[in-house]
Amino acid sequence: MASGNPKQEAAGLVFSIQHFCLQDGPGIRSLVFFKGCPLRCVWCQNPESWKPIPELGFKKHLCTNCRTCISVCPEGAIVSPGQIRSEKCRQCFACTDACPSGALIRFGKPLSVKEIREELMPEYPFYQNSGGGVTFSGGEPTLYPEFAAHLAGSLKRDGIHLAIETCGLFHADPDTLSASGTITKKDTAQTAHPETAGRLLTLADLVLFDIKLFHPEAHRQFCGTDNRMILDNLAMLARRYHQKGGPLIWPRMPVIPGITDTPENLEGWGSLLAELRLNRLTLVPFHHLGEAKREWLQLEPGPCIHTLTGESMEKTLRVLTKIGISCFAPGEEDWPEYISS
Amino acid sequence: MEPEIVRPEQVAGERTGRIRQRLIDAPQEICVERARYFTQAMAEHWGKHPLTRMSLALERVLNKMSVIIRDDEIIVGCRTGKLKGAPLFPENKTRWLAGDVENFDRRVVQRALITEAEKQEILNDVLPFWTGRTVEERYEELLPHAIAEDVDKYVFTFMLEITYGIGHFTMNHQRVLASGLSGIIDEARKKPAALSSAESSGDTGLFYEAVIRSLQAAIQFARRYSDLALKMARETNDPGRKKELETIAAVCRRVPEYPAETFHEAVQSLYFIHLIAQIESGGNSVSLGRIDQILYPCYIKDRKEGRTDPAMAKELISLLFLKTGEIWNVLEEAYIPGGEGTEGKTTQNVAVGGLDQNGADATNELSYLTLDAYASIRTVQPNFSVRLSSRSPDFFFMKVIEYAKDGVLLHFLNDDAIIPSLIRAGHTEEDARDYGVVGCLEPNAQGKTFGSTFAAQFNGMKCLEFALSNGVDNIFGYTSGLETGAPSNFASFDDVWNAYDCQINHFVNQLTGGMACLDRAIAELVPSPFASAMIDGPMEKGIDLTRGGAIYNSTGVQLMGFSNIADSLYAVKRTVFDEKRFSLSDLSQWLSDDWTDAEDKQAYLKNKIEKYGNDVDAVDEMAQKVAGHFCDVLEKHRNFRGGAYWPGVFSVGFHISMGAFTGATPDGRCAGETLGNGITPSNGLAVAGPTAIMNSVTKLPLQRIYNGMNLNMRFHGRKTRSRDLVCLIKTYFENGGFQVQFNMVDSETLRDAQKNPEAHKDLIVRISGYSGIFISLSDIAQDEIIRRTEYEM
Ligand code: SF4
Ligand code: SF4
Repeated sequence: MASGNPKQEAAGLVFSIQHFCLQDGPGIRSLVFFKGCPLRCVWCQNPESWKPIPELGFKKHLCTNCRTCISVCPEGAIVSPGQIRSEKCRQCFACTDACPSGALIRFGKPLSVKEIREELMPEYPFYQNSGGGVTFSGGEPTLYPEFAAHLAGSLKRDGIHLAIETCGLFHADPDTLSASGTITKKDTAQTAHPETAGRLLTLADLVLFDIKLFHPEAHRQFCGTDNRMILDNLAMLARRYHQKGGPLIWPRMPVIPGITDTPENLEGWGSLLAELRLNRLTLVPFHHLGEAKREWLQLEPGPCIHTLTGESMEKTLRVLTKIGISCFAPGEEDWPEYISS
Repeated sequence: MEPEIVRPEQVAGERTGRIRQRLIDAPQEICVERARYFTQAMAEHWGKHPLTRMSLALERVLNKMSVIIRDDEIIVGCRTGKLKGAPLFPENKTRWLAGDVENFDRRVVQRALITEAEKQEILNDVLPFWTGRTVEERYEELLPHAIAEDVDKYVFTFMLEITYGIGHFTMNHQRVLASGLSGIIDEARKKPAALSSAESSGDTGLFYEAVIRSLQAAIQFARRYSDLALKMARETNDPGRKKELETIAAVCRRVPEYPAETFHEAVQSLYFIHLIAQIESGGNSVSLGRIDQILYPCYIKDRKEGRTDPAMAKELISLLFLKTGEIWNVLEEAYIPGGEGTEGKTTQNVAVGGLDQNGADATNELSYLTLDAYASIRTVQPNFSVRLSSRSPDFFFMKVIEYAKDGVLLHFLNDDAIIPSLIRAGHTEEDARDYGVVGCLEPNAQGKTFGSTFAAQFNGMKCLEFALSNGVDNIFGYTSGLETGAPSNFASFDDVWNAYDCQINHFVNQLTGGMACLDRAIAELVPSPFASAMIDGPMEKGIDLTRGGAIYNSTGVQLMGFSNIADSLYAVKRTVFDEKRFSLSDLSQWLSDDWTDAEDKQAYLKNKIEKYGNDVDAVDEMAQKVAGHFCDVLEKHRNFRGGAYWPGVFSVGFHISMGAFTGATPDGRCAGETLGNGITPSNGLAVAGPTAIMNSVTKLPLQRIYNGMNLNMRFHGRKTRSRDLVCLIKTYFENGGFQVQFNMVDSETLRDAQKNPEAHKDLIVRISGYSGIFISLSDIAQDEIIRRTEYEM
């Protein structure tokens, strides 16, 4: 179906599909991670999700120096294990297929709707019994508005509960959003600023909306762009939700010590959320898991971020609770009953 | 409403807490009493019929052995003169004892104290009599040379059955509770009248005589406890204890001789029967069965008459469970490294929940109380099974999950899959519904089955090793298997498969041939008249259990290395024949060299070829084929008792010990590494999470694996929502899953336990279906448990 229709992106670039996830929406879920993100948050734990193109990664500690990669590369692009001349590489991935140790790995594979659905189908009974479903994550699923909408439509036809996790940076036309899903503009997949994500969002049952820094300048400093569009989108989605014209909006905030958990930031978001009548918030604690990944991708190390302490978490909770925001740990939210399809 | 859970801390100051602590702190010891009295009686009566002399020997033991009532006890009865004493069963096998006696108190694993005098008594008074008279020697005499040759090739073993006998049964406790042993004795008295004179003077007559003598000895044994309790009551200055001792005296005066009138009597009667069966013979896994059903009528009666309340009932059940913790068997040192726990696996199973004989849900108040009782002590014994079905109350489901999350070791069994499977295996519908669970997880008709469920362990991976080496054992370097052709001549995957099929068939033939000799030796020398009266069939037929008296008579054979066989065959098919990436003769050479200079090939096979357990159809189909084939092969054989061979796919510790003698395998495993555990995917190779594992498992022909299977999953308990775990299990069961167990301990705890064993004396983990104390496991077994895939949430 997917490939038969020239109007749809034949494939979405996905870097992982994970099952039995319990922290990204209600019930037992599968996560589909789309590759590509318009933001560059300094604390990012999934830097492999940044570029909307397939990439090579190298886990040095696994390499046995067998040099298989060098011998299979048709372009002679590999100088020595892990050292790849990107200008020569045609991304044929013969090297990752052949690397026996798993040191050389591929991030991102274009998958069709059919392929993804086949991967998800054996999980359906688990979703159905648990009130779970599928969550699109990333990266940023709205970077593939047509493809993701097509996949979403196919899952909805199967009766699957759908959540979309978004960074909020997308062009969404409120009219499209309320319409029954006609797409008005042609989308392009690989631009940092996607156009309309309207149809995709109308298909979701739940939007997990990531909020980070409240002040536009701070947002630019830590996430690479300003956040005006994000704020607008949040307000617009909240409005649609309250008018019963859109999915449940559930904000989530990564708690990054010294960055997102400052009193000003918490108070800024807290008041906005209260104003938007979104009084529930999931706090996602920071881990240092992304650092190794930067190394695999040969990215500069991120800034040094302190380990989150129980004390500072308490403080965060106090600030938000005072404003009337109920906070939850991932996986412990009190999802309203009705969203279980 | 959230189900409440009970923890050992809550009973710490109470009677159960005190007894629990005493049990945990007690050293393991050897006790010579049983061997002494048994041998003395046998020496006097050796000229008599085996049934007669067995019953005389049991009578002697029960009359002479120590009777002890310890502080705080309400449920009484001891298997030896020591709190955690292991009796010896020299009638089965003595040669190992001669070697191990000196060493019992010195060895590292399963260390057991023994006095110098006892050592001397064993060496001088016990062992000499048995030379030439043991089951082991008779078995060796019966064993044809052509089979004997194949016994020591690490392909199969019946080690446990040689050392301790068959064991592995549940009994018809309901009958004892309803009519007392006196009722059964009456029945046995009436039987010979209906026999011809030839029969009544022959084996059949002797059988009933032996039954009557054994049951009378059991009654006498209970009376000794009654007498002791009275004496202690007279001597104590503590009025509270005096009253308790008087009650014990009254209870032991009535049961098991007469029907149980009260809940207390029912529990005590059940324990006497359970205990005496394990004094008569040493076979492991004598199991309690569905005690929430067995004890229910007496519980309801007591409740109605105001004699008991839930708290009292729970305490009595806890005390019963604590008694089972005293029962253990000491093993031959040579066999211990198989992941064995110190405690010696007398895996005494107890089951709650599930359907009744009419197919209605039978979960009752006692099901919950029994769970609470077990959770309040959390000791190694009993081994706890929970029967679940689509009709189980949601609250019960939630309760068992809360317990599993809290680290209580529970086996979940799916009635909706197991019952049809048992029917397929030849059970009536009623009997299938009323299955009890034996040992680790083996289901069969409660009180009607002599199913020898852990008779033999079969290393199918070793057979594949031979198929890929033209019969050469890659560990020892000489030919051990059949010469099924040089791999270089194999033109297609079918040739590989045929070679595998030949090896499996050959060794299964040898196994069943050997098993027949062993079962015959057991039947000839060590019949079990007491147990025969406790299981339906022998009393009706006048035939001992060991000769096929029971209604159901299967023998279980467990396939070891299941995931390795499936992954290896798939890897060969794909890389050698489909993709032609490697030649089979090269691969065969790498295996024989244990991957020396072919490490990159090994890594490729391990990391790049799909593995069973990830819900990948291509490889799961191979797993399906391997499982189905094993069932086909076993189906062709009948056992000595006229029953079928039942396939099982669970491994206790044998995947470790058999792995140690298995060469490198095409799934990328090195020689000597552990094999896969039951139907669980190989360690660390199931990377797609628990739902994918379950989906892979439910593609297998589970309905044919009658003897049971083990899927072991680890979770970080605290991080998992109970509701989601319930849904995970429910979905797995709806998809046809049979069994699952969860290990909820986190790896930090286990690592800490490795470093500070003293602080974790009571930390229990499951090894494929049976529970063991973590710190008593061998280092290899500990590491495996830590390594086992953890599903981070
Ligand atoms: S992706 Fe292809 S071209 Fe690029 S380095 Fe690997 S083998 Fe060479
Ligand atoms: S193929 Fe893999 S293991 Fe071998 S040298 Fe290249 S990166 Fe290292």
